[in-house]
Amino acid sequence: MNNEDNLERMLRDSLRHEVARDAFRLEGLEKRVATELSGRVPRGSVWDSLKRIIAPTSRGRAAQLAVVGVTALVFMVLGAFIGNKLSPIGLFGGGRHSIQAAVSASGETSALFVMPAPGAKSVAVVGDFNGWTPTPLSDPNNDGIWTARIPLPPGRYEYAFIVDGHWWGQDPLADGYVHSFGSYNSVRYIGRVGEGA
Amino acid sequence: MTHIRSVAVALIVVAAAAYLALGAVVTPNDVYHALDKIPLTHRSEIVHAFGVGFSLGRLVPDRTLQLVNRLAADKGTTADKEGILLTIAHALEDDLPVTLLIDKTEEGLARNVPLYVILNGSGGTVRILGLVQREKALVAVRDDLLYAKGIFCISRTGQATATSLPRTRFDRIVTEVADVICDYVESGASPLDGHLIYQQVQTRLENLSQLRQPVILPEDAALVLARIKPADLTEVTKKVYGFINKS
Repeated sequence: MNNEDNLERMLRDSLRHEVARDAFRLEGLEKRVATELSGRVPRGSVWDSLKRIIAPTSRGRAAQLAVVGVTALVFMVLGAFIGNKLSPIGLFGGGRHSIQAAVSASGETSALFVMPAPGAKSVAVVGDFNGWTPTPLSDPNNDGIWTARIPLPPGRYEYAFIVDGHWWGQDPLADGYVHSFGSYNSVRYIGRVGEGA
Repeated sequence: MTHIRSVAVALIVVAAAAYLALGAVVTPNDVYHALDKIPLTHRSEIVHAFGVGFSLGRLVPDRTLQLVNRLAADKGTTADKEGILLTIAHALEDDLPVTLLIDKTEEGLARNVPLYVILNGSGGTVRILGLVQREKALVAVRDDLLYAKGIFCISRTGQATATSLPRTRFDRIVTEVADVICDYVESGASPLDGHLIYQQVQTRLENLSQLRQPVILPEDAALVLARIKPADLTEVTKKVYGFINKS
Protein backbone atom coordinates (compact mmCIF):
# COMPACT_ATOMS: atom_id res chain seq x y z
CA MET A 1 0.00 0.00 0.00
CA ASN A 2 2.89 2.30 0.91
CA ASN A 3 4.60 1.52 -2.36
CA GLU A 4 1.46 2.39 -4.33
CA ASP A 5 1.21 5.74 -2.50
CA ASN A 6 4.82 6.47 -3.35
CA LEU A 7 4.27 5.58 -7.00
CA GLU A 8 1.24 7.82 -7.25
CA ARG A 9 3.12 10.74 -5.67
CA MET A 10 6.01 10.27 -8.08
CA LEU A 11 3.64 10.29 -11.07
CA ARG A 12 1.87 13.43 -9.86
CA ASP A 13 5.20 15.20 -9.35
CA SER A 14 6.35 14.15 -12.78
CA LEU A 15 3.18 15.41 -14.45
CA ARG A 16 3.26 18.69 -12.52
CA HIS A 17 6.83 19.16 -13.65
CA GLU A 18 5.90 18.49 -17.28
CA VAL A 19 2.99 20.95 -17.15
CA ALA A 20 5.13 23.62 -15.50
CA ARG A 21 7.82 23.17 -18.15
CA ASP A 22 5.37 23.69 -21.09
CA ALA A 23 3.06 26.18 -19.42
CA PHE A 24 4.33 29.06 -21.54
CA ARG A 25 2.96 27.27 -24.63
CA LEU A 26 -0.58 27.56 -23.30
CA GLU A 27 -0.41 31.32 -22.89
CA GLY A 28 -2.83 32.94 -25.38
CA LEU A 29 -3.90 29.54 -26.71
CA GLU A 30 -7.58 30.43 -26.68
CA LYS A 31 -6.94 33.64 -28.63
CA ARG A 32 -4.77 31.82 -31.17
CA VAL A 33 -7.44 29.16 -31.78
CA ALA A 34 -10.09 31.84 -32.22
CA THR A 35 -7.88 33.71 -34.70
CA GLU A 36 -7.16 30.50 -36.61
CA LEU A 37 -10.83 29.57 -36.86
CA SER A 38 -11.91 33.03 -37.91
CA GLY A 39 -9.34 32.85 -40.73
CA ARG A 40 -10.75 29.57 -42.01
CA VAL A 41 -14.44 30.31 -41.86
CA PRO A 42 -15.44 32.99 -44.37
CA ARG A 43 -17.09 35.91 -42.75
CA GLY A 44 -20.72 36.30 -43.51
CA SER A 45 -21.11 32.77 -44.89
CA VAL A 46 -24.45 30.99 -44.85
CA TRP A 47 -23.09 28.58 -42.27
CA ASP A 48 -21.92 31.47 -40.13
CA SER A 49 -25.31 33.09 -40.32
CA LEU A 50 -27.00 29.81 -39.51
CA LYS A 51 -24.73 29.34 -36.49
CA ARG A 52 -25.61 32.80 -35.25
CA ILE A 53 -29.27 31.98 -35.61
CA ILE A 54 -29.02 28.63 -33.89
CA ALA A 55 -26.62 29.73 -31.15
CA PRO A 56 -28.20 30.53 -27.79
CA THR A 57 -29.30 34.13 -27.72
CA SER A 58 -31.42 36.34 -25.63
CA ARG A 59 -34.38 35.53 -27.88
CA GLY A 60 -34.61 32.25 -26.07
CA ARG A 61 -35.13 28.64 -27.00
CA ALA A 62 -38.67 29.12 -28.29
CA ALA A 63 -37.43 31.39 -31.06
CA GLN A 64 -34.71 28.91 -32.01
CA LEU A 65 -37.18 26.09 -32.17
CA ALA A 66 -39.47 28.21 -34.32
CA VAL A 67 -36.63 28.89 -36.78
CA VAL A 68 -35.64 25.23 -36.94
CA GLY A 69 -39.28 24.17 -37.29
CA VAL A 70 -40.02 26.56 -40.12
CA THR A 71 -36.82 25.53 -41.92
CA ALA A 72 -37.74 21.85 -41.59
CA LEU A 73 -41.24 22.56 -42.84
CA VAL A 74 -39.91 24.43 -45.88
CA PHE A 75 -37.58 21.54 -46.70
CA MET A 76 -40.40 19.01 -46.27
CA VAL A 77 -42.70 20.94 -48.60
CA LEU A 78 -39.93 21.41 -51.15
CA GLY A 79 -38.98 17.73 -50.88
CA ALA A 80 -42.53 16.60 -51.40
CA PHE A 81 -42.94 18.89 -54.40
CA ILE A 82 -39.68 17.86 -56.05
CA GLY A 83 -40.24 14.21 -55.20
CA ASN A 84 -43.69 14.30 -56.74
CA LYS A 85 -42.34 15.95 -59.86
CA LEU A 86 -39.22 13.91 -60.36
CA SER A 87 -39.77 10.49 -58.84
CA PRO A 88 -41.40 9.12 -62.02
CA ILE A 89 -38.17 9.70 -63.91
CA GLY A 90 -36.13 7.94 -61.29
CA LEU A 91 -34.13 10.74 -59.69
CA PHE A 92 -35.64 9.74 -56.40
CA GLY A 93 -36.03 6.09 -55.50
CA GLY A 94 -39.14 4.59 -54.09
CA GLY A 95 -40.52 1.80 -56.21
CA ARG A 96 -40.39 3.04 -59.74
CA HIS A 97 -42.51 0.16 -60.96
CA SER A 98 -45.35 1.11 -58.67
CA ILE A 99 -45.25 4.55 -60.22
CA GLN A 100 -44.67 3.60 -63.82
CA ALA A 101 -46.98 0.67 -64.18
CA ALA A 102 -50.33 0.74 -62.50
CA VAL A 103 -53.14 -1.70 -61.98
CA SER A 104 -56.66 -0.33 -61.90
CA ALA A 105 -59.37 -1.51 -59.57
CA SER A 106 -60.77 -3.63 -62.40
CA GLY A 107 -57.37 -5.32 -62.81
CA GLU A 108 -56.43 -3.56 -66.04
CA THR A 109 -52.76 -2.67 -66.30
CA SER A 110 -51.29 0.43 -67.83
CA ALA A 111 -47.89 2.01 -68.30
CA LEU A 112 -46.85 5.56 -67.55
CA PHE A 113 -44.30 6.82 -70.03
CA VAL A 114 -42.28 9.79 -68.83
CA MET A 115 -39.77 11.75 -70.86
CA PRO A 116 -38.01 14.85 -69.54
CA ALA A 117 -37.58 17.08 -72.59
CA PRO A 118 -37.57 20.77 -71.66
CA GLY A 119 -38.11 22.97 -74.68
CA ALA A 120 -39.26 20.14 -76.94
CA LYS A 121 -42.07 20.88 -79.37
CA SER A 122 -43.36 17.31 -79.60
CA VAL A 123 -42.71 14.06 -77.79
CA ALA A 124 -44.20 10.69 -78.67
CA VAL A 125 -43.67 7.07 -77.78
CA VAL A 126 -43.49 4.27 -80.34
CA GLY A 127 -43.31 0.58 -79.62
CA ASP A 128 -44.51 -2.87 -80.42
CA PHE A 129 -47.68 -2.11 -78.44
CA ASN A 130 -48.82 0.52 -80.95
CA GLY A 131 -47.35 -0.96 -84.13
CA TRP A 132 -44.52 1.62 -83.94
CA THR A 133 -46.95 4.43 -84.72
CA PRO A 134 -46.42 7.49 -82.51
CA THR A 135 -48.60 7.98 -79.44
CA PRO A 136 -48.15 11.59 -78.29
CA LEU A 137 -47.01 12.54 -74.79
CA SER A 138 -48.28 15.76 -73.23
CA ASP A 139 -46.81 18.43 -70.99
CA PRO A 140 -49.80 20.33 -69.61
CA ASN A 141 -47.76 22.08 -66.90
CA ASN A 142 -45.07 23.25 -69.34
CA ASP A 143 -42.45 22.00 -66.92
CA GLY A 144 -40.61 19.97 -69.53
CA ILE A 145 -41.83 16.61 -68.18
CA TRP A 146 -43.83 14.88 -70.91
CA THR A 147 -46.08 12.00 -69.92
CA ALA A 148 -48.62 9.56 -71.31
CA ARG A 149 -50.44 6.72 -69.62
CA ILE A 150 -51.27 3.89 -71.98
CA PRO A 151 -53.43 0.88 -71.07
CA LEU A 152 -51.43 -2.25 -71.82
CA PRO A 153 -52.05 -5.90 -71.01
CA PRO A 154 -49.32 -7.67 -69.03
CA GLY A 155 -46.30 -8.42 -71.19
CA ARG A 156 -42.88 -7.39 -72.39
CA TYR A 157 -42.73 -4.28 -74.54
CA GLU A 158 -40.02 -2.66 -76.64
CA TYR A 159 -40.29 1.06 -77.23
CA ALA A 160 -38.53 4.33 -77.92
CA PHE A 161 -39.35 8.00 -77.60
CA ILE A 162 -39.39 10.43 -80.50
CA VAL A 163 -38.42 13.93 -79.38
CA ASP A 164 -38.84 16.54 -82.11
CA GLY A 165 -38.31 13.83 -84.70
CA HIS A 166 -35.26 12.28 -83.05
CA TRP A 167 -35.44 8.72 -81.71
CA TRP A 168 -34.43 8.18 -78.13
CA GLY A 169 -34.29 4.50 -77.26
CA GLN A 170 -32.67 4.60 -73.84
CA ASP A 171 -35.34 5.41 -71.29
CA PRO A 172 -33.59 5.66 -67.90
CA LEU A 173 -36.61 3.96 -66.35
CA ALA A 174 -36.58 0.94 -68.64
CA ASP A 175 -36.09 -2.58 -67.33
CA GLY A 176 -33.49 -3.14 -70.04
CA TYR A 177 -32.30 -2.27 -73.52
CA VAL A 178 -31.79 -4.18 -76.74
CA HIS A 179 -29.97 -3.35 -79.95
CA SER A 180 -32.26 -2.86 -82.89
CA PHE A 181 -31.43 -1.62 -86.37
CA GLY A 182 -28.14 -0.24 -85.15
CA SER A 183 -29.78 1.69 -82.34
CA TYR A 184 -31.42 0.93 -79.02
CA ASN A 185 -34.88 0.03 -77.84
CA SER A 186 -35.99 0.26 -74.25
CA VAL A 187 -37.70 -2.75 -72.72
CA ARG A 188 -40.35 -2.72 -70.04
CA TYR A 189 -42.34 -5.47 -68.38
CA ILE A 190 -45.92 -4.53 -67.52
CA GLY A 191 -48.06 -6.39 -65.03
CA ARG A 192 -45.42 -7.75 -62.71
CA VAL A 193 -46.78 -9.35 -59.59
CA GLY A 194 -46.52 -6.85 -56.77
CA GLU A 195 -47.03 -3.72 -58.82
CA GLY A 196 -49.54 -1.55 -57.06
CA ALA A 197 -52.17 0.81 -58.27
CA MET B 1 -94.87 12.86 -78.53
CA THR B 2 -91.61 14.43 -77.42
CA HIS B 3 -90.77 11.22 -75.59
CA ILE B 4 -91.26 9.12 -78.73
CA ARG B 5 -89.12 11.54 -80.73
CA SER B 6 -86.31 11.24 -78.14
CA VAL B 7 -86.42 7.45 -78.28
CA ALA B 8 -86.31 7.54 -82.08
CA VAL B 9 -83.29 9.83 -82.08
CA ALA B 10 -81.53 7.59 -79.56
CA LEU B 11 -82.20 4.53 -81.70
CA ILE B 12 -80.82 6.24 -84.79
CA VAL B 13 -77.67 7.25 -82.92
CA VAL B 14 -77.17 3.71 -81.62
CA ALA B 15 -77.71 2.27 -85.09
CA ALA B 16 -75.25 4.72 -86.63
CA ALA B 17 -72.65 3.93 -83.99
CA ALA B 18 -73.10 0.19 -84.54
CA TYR B 19 -72.78 0.65 -88.30
CA LEU B 20 -69.59 2.64 -87.90
CA ALA B 21 -68.17 0.12 -85.45
CA LEU B 22 -68.93 -2.82 -87.70
CA GLY B 23 -67.65 -0.94 -90.72
CA ALA B 24 -64.31 -0.38 -88.96
CA VAL B 25 -63.62 -4.10 -88.59
CA VAL B 26 -60.82 -5.11 -90.93
CA THR B 27 -61.23 -8.40 -92.77
CA PRO B 28 -58.72 -10.55 -94.67
CA ASN B 29 -60.34 -9.31 -97.89
CA ASP B 30 -59.28 -5.76 -97.00
CA VAL B 31 -55.71 -7.04 -96.76
CA TYR B 32 -55.93 -8.79 -100.13
CA HIS B 33 -57.30 -5.61 -101.74
CA ALA B 34 -54.46 -3.62 -100.21
CA LEU B 35 -51.96 -6.04 -101.73
CA ASP B 36 -53.14 -4.82 -105.13
CA LYS B 37 -51.31 -1.55 -104.46
CA ILE B 38 -48.03 -3.45 -104.89
CA PRO B 39 -47.37 -5.05 -108.30
CA LEU B 40 -46.51 -8.50 -106.96
CA THR B 41 -45.30 -11.35 -109.12
CA HIS B 42 -46.09 -13.98 -106.46
CA ARG B 43 -49.41 -12.57 -105.31
CA SER B 44 -51.27 -15.89 -105.25
CA GLU B 45 -48.64 -17.56 -103.05
CA ILE B 46 -48.71 -14.64 -100.64
CA VAL B 47 -52.51 -14.57 -100.50
CA HIS B 48 -52.63 -18.33 -99.90
CA ALA B 49 -50.10 -18.19 -97.08
CA PHE B 50 -51.78 -15.18 -95.51
CA GLY B 51 -55.07 -17.09 -95.64
CA VAL B 52 -53.45 -19.88 -93.63
CA GLY B 53 -52.12 -17.28 -91.21
CA PHE B 54 -55.55 -15.71 -90.72
CA SER B 55 -57.21 -19.08 -90.20
CA LEU B 56 -54.69 -20.10 -87.52
CA GLY B 57 -54.74 -16.72 -85.83
CA ARG B 58 -51.07 -16.12 -86.59
CA LEU B 59 -52.02 -13.06 -88.62
CA VAL B 60 -54.37 -10.33 -87.41
CA PRO B 61 -56.21 -8.53 -90.24
CA ASP B 62 -55.94 -4.94 -88.95
CA ARG B 63 -52.25 -5.17 -88.16
CA THR B 64 -51.51 -6.93 -91.45
CA LEU B 65 -53.44 -4.27 -93.34
CA GLN B 66 -51.41 -1.58 -91.63
CA LEU B 67 -48.20 -3.36 -92.61
CA VAL B 68 -49.23 -3.78 -96.25
CA ASN B 69 -50.30 -0.14 -96.50
CA ARG B 70 -47.02 1.04 -95.03
CA LEU B 71 -45.05 -1.17 -97.39
CA ALA B 72 -47.07 0.10 -100.37
CA ALA B 73 -46.35 3.71 -99.36
CA ASP B 74 -42.62 3.12 -98.85
CA LYS B 75 -40.23 4.43 -101.49
CA GLY B 76 -38.27 1.15 -101.59
CA THR B 77 -38.21 -1.17 -104.57
CA THR B 78 -41.06 -3.50 -105.43
CA ALA B 79 -38.63 -6.41 -105.24
CA ASP B 80 -37.80 -5.63 -101.61
CA LYS B 81 -41.48 -5.14 -100.75
CA GLU B 82 -42.29 -8.50 -102.29
CA GLY B 83 -39.27 -10.03 -100.56
CA ILE B 84 -40.61 -8.95 -97.18
CA LEU B 85 -44.09 -10.26 -97.91
CA LEU B 86 -42.69 -13.53 -99.28
CA THR B 87 -40.52 -14.04 -96.19
CA ILE B 88 -43.57 -13.68 -93.97
CA ALA B 89 -45.56 -15.92 -96.31
CA HIS B 90 -42.79 -18.52 -96.33
CA ALA B 91 -42.72 -18.56 -92.54
CA LEU B 92 -46.49 -19.06 -92.44
CA GLU B 93 -46.28 -21.90 -94.96
CA ASP B 94 -43.53 -23.41 -92.82
CA ASP B 95 -45.91 -23.42 -89.83
CA LEU B 96 -43.99 -20.72 -87.95
CA PRO B 97 -45.24 -17.80 -85.84
CA VAL B 98 -44.68 -14.47 -87.60
CA THR B 99 -45.22 -11.88 -84.85
CA LEU B 100 -41.48 -11.29 -84.62
CA LEU B 101 -41.19 -10.71 -88.39
CA ILE B 102 -44.14 -8.33 -88.59
CA ASP B 103 -43.02 -6.39 -85.56
CA LYS B 104 -39.48 -5.90 -86.85
CA THR B 105 -40.78 -4.85 -90.26
CA GLU B 106 -43.04 -2.25 -88.68
CA GLU B 107 -40.20 -0.97 -86.51
CA GLY B 108 -37.84 -0.77 -89.47
CA LEU B 109 -40.40 1.14 -91.52
CA ALA B 110 -41.01 3.55 -88.64
CA ARG B 111 -37.26 4.12 -88.33
CA ASN B 112 -37.00 4.75 -92.08
CA VAL B 113 -34.60 1.84 -92.45
CA PRO B 114 -34.12 0.91 -96.14
CA LEU B 115 -36.27 -2.05 -97.14
CA TYR B 116 -33.30 -4.13 -98.27
CA VAL B 117 -31.79 -3.80 -94.76
CA ILE B 118 -35.10 -4.73 -93.15
CA LEU B 119 -35.17 -7.77 -95.40
CA ASN B 120 -31.53 -8.86 -95.54
CA GLY B 121 -29.93 -7.21 -92.51
CA SER B 122 -26.40 -5.89 -92.47
CA GLY B 123 -23.19 -7.64 -91.53
CA GLY B 124 -21.06 -4.51 -91.33
CA THR B 125 -19.58 -2.90 -88.25
CA VAL B 126 -23.08 -2.53 -86.87
CA ARG B 127 -24.72 -5.94 -87.00
CA ILE B 128 -28.37 -5.80 -88.03
CA LEU B 129 -30.53 -8.85 -88.44
CA GLY B 130 -33.01 -8.81 -91.29
CA LEU B 131 -36.19 -10.79 -91.72
CA VAL B 132 -34.25 -13.52 -93.52
CA GLN B 133 -32.03 -14.15 -90.49
CA ARG B 134 -34.92 -13.86 -88.08
CA GLU B 135 -36.89 -16.47 -89.96
CA LYS B 136 -33.85 -18.77 -89.83
CA ALA B 137 -33.67 -18.14 -86.09
CA LEU B 138 -37.32 -19.17 -85.72
CA VAL B 139 -36.69 -22.35 -87.70
CA ALA B 140 -33.55 -23.17 -85.71
CA VAL B 141 -35.27 -22.63 -82.36
CA ARG B 142 -38.21 -24.77 -83.34
CA ASP B 143 -36.31 -27.60 -85.07
CA ASP B 144 -32.87 -27.68 -83.48
CA LEU B 145 -33.88 -26.67 -80.00
CA LEU B 146 -37.46 -27.55 -79.14
CA TYR B 147 -38.09 -30.47 -81.49
CA ALA B 148 -34.62 -31.84 -80.78
CA LYS B 149 -35.41 -31.78 -77.06
CA GLY B 150 -38.76 -33.48 -77.47
CA ILE B 151 -40.97 -30.41 -77.12
CA PHE B 152 -43.60 -30.39 -79.83
CA CYS B 153 -46.68 -28.52 -80.91
CA ILE B 154 -50.02 -30.30 -81.00
CA SER B 155 -50.62 -31.00 -84.67
CA ARG B 156 -53.48 -29.51 -86.63
CA THR B 157 -55.37 -32.78 -86.23
CA GLY B 158 -55.21 -32.32 -82.50
CA GLN B 159 -53.00 -35.35 -81.89
CA ALA B 160 -50.67 -34.87 -78.98
CA THR B 161 -47.26 -36.47 -78.70
CA ALA B 162 -45.36 -37.10 -75.49
CA THR B 163 -44.71 -33.44 -74.70
CA SER B 164 -46.96 -31.37 -76.88
CA LEU B 165 -48.04 -27.84 -76.22
CA PRO B 166 -51.02 -26.05 -77.76
CA ARG B 167 -50.00 -24.02 -80.79
CA THR B 168 -50.31 -20.58 -79.21
CA ARG B 169 -48.15 -21.60 -76.26
CA PHE B 170 -45.62 -23.32 -78.51
CA ASP B 171 -45.54 -20.32 -80.88
CA ARG B 172 -44.90 -17.98 -78.01
CA ILE B 173 -41.91 -19.97 -76.80
CA VAL B 174 -40.46 -20.17 -80.31
CA THR B 175 -40.95 -16.41 -80.75
CA GLU B 176 -39.46 -15.40 -77.42
CA VAL B 177 -36.42 -17.69 -77.56
CA ALA B 178 -35.70 -16.67 -81.16
CA ASP B 179 -36.05 -13.01 -80.18
CA VAL B 180 -33.59 -13.43 -77.31
CA ILE B 181 -31.08 -15.06 -79.66
CA CYS B 182 -31.56 -12.33 -82.28
CA ASP B 183 -31.12 -9.64 -79.63
CA TYR B 184 -28.01 -11.43 -78.42
CA VAL B 185 -26.53 -11.62 -81.92
CA GLU B 186 -27.28 -7.94 -82.60
CA SER B 187 -25.61 -6.97 -79.33
CA GLY B 188 -22.33 -8.16 -80.84
CA ALA B 189 -21.62 -10.72 -78.12
CA SER B 190 -19.86 -14.01 -78.84
CA PRO B 191 -22.03 -16.89 -80.08
CA LEU B 192 -19.80 -19.27 -78.13
CA ASP B 193 -20.89 -18.02 -74.72
CA GLY B 194 -23.73 -20.49 -74.29
CA HIS B 195 -24.08 -19.81 -70.57
CA LEU B 196 -24.74 -16.12 -71.15
CA ILE B 197 -27.29 -16.90 -73.87
CA TYR B 198 -28.95 -19.42 -71.56
CA GLN B 199 -29.07 -16.83 -68.81
CA GLN B 200 -30.81 -14.38 -71.12
CA VAL B 201 -33.31 -17.00 -72.29
CA GLN B 202 -33.96 -17.92 -68.68
CA THR B 203 -34.51 -14.29 -67.67
CA ARG B 204 -36.94 -13.69 -70.53
CA LEU B 205 -38.99 -16.84 -69.96
CA GLU B 206 -39.13 -16.39 -66.20
CA ASN B 207 -40.08 -12.71 -66.47
CA LEU B 208 -42.91 -13.55 -68.84
CA SER B 209 -44.11 -16.40 -66.65
CA GLN B 210 -44.22 -14.26 -63.52
CA LEU B 211 -46.68 -11.64 -64.76
CA ARG B 212 -50.18 -11.22 -63.35
CA GLN B 213 -51.49 -12.88 -66.47
CA PRO B 214 -48.49 -14.95 -67.54
CA VAL B 215 -47.59 -14.58 -71.21
CA ILE B 216 -45.76 -17.89 -70.89
CA LEU B 217 -47.06 -20.40 -68.39
CA PRO B 218 -44.61 -21.16 -65.58
CA GLU B 219 -44.74 -24.87 -66.39
CA ASP B 220 -43.86 -24.19 -70.04
CA ALA B 221 -40.91 -22.02 -69.02
CA ALA B 222 -39.73 -24.67 -66.57
CA LEU B 223 -40.08 -27.38 -69.22
CA VAL B 224 -37.97 -25.52 -71.77
CA LEU B 225 -35.33 -24.43 -69.28
CA ALA B 226 -35.00 -27.95 -67.93
CA ARG B 227 -34.46 -29.49 -71.34
CA ILE B 228 -32.22 -27.06 -73.18
CA LYS B 229 -28.58 -26.63 -72.31
CA PRO B 230 -26.17 -23.75 -72.95
CA ALA B 231 -24.43 -25.82 -75.62
CA ASP B 232 -27.71 -26.21 -77.52
CA LEU B 233 -28.18 -22.46 -77.57
CA THR B 234 -24.61 -22.00 -78.79
CA GLU B 235 -25.35 -24.19 -81.80
CA VAL B 236 -28.51 -22.29 -82.67
CA THR B 237 -26.79 -18.93 -82.24
CA LYS B 238 -23.90 -20.02 -84.42
CA LYS B 239 -26.41 -20.86 -87.15
CA VAL B 240 -27.85 -17.35 -87.02
CA TYR B 241 -24.30 -15.95 -87.19
CA GLY B 242 -23.66 -18.12 -90.21
CA PHE B 243 -26.63 -16.60 -92.01
CA ILE B 244 -25.35 -13.10 -91.29
CA ASN B 245 -22.04 -13.85 -92.91
CA LYS B 246 -23.74 -15.28 -95.98
CA SER B 247 -26.01 -12.31 -96.47
